[in-house]
Amino acid sequence: MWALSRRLLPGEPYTPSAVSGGGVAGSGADPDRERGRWRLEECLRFATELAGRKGRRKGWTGLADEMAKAGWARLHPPTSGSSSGAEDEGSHVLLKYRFHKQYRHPTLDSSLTKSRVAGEARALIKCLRSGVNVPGIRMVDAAEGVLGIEWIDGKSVRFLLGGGAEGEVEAEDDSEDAQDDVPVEEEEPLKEAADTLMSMIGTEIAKMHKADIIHGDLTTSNMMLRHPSSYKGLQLVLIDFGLAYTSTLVEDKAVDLYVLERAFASTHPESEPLFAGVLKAYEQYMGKEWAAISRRLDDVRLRGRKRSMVG
Amino acid sequence: MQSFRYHHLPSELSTVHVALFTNVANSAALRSRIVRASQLEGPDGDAEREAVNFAFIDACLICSLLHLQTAVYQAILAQAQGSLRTKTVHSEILWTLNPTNNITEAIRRYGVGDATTSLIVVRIASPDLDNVEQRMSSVVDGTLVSLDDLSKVTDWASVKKYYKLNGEPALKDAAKDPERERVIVDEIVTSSVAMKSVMA
Repeated sequence: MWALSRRLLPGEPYTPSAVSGGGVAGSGADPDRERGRWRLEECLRFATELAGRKGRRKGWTGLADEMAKAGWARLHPPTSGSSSGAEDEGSHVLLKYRFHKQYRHPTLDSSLTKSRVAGEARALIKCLRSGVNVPGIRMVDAAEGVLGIEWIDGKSVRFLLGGGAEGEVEAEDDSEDAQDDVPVEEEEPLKEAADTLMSMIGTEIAKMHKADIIHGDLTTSNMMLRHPSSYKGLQLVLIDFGLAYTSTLVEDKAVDLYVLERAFASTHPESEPLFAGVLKAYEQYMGKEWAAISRRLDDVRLRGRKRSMVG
Repeated sequence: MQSFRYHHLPSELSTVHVALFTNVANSAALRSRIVRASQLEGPDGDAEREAVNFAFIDACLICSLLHLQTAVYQAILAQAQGSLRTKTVHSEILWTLNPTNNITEAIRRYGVGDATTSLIVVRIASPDLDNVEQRMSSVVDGTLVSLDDLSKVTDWASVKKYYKLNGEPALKDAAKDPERERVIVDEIVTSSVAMKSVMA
């Protein structure tokens, strides 16, 4: 769902209704607030329909318009951000749906889906226990391939650094998102804010690597800055653990950092000082483990992500 | 009492009634009544089982409403997909709440015990079932209070002990700030409940 909605419609992804509060009947919930939310079955219907439509037209072009015409865009939540008070925070759930792949044998498909959903959930809980900021898990339906995770009220680092959203026109106005720590008007404080952000990123990755979790897909799109007004406060949150795995190897940690370095270089101008800031904080947190990782990172830079095939 | 509806689930499982009782005086009697009801045979047994057809949960071990709802939802999901690990959807809630796979331990820790004073009563039913609040009150001898009072009865030390959270790196940073620590504990516990079905 995450990937799909990010790609399909401008603005923030969909806010499904709370899994647990899915259709809270007659409990006096504000109908205005309820209207923008999604229920589980709506999400499933959306994802299924999306998959079907995409399959028929063989691509993403024009899909958003078509879905909007079919009435889907009306379900997009109002962008007013501040409408949800602190009391119902944590009740928004994001559903990540791994839909059925028609090209795979059904048995293989269900076992793959199941193990991937389980793997992602396990990586998340391990991160939570190790103190890494990640979204909490809200529901797991391995049989159907649905993973419900906490909705993060905030923006992706990619967006904050001016990288824009992926493949779409970002229609947000900056004024509502201009946080005190990320001012957009002046050069100097912006740089300072970016430095702070980079050190937050470095610390978070270091915490994760200390727990021997490798993210596998570190990019600036997979990091979000939680809105300071949310009840957990300002935080850098790592998201999308779909490719995560556990490893103690220096090689894997170095490659993880290398992947992020390449992501920085390809999406943000003048990324070098930014990434240096990330490494500095990472080094501080990792302590004496850093030396080995640093050496290996230099090796990886020379040869690329994949090891050469020997033997 | 609060009720929730899950419209996308099969109708006989779609409605959840939750109530919190404090100052419960008959927990020991209630426990033995539940045990007896399970052994009775014939129509008497059926009537008795229907009378105590609830999930009785020790409220001390519940961190937040979200925590409870997550467990209830996962239990209903298991029932709807025919993958129950325990005999009923109500006992499945207790199993989901417990961090290990041991059913007896789950019932002993999270179910009603002789010393229980605050109790959460949950009923999963079809929307047609009425008088649920009356049925609950007739079984439990206690004060029906709002679910917002849940945070007052939570025993955080036991929660941390059962989930083996003491000494976890996540709690070290927040050790001096109980308010923040609770948010973190709640998050870990709720997430653990949500992923119970795929736990390693």
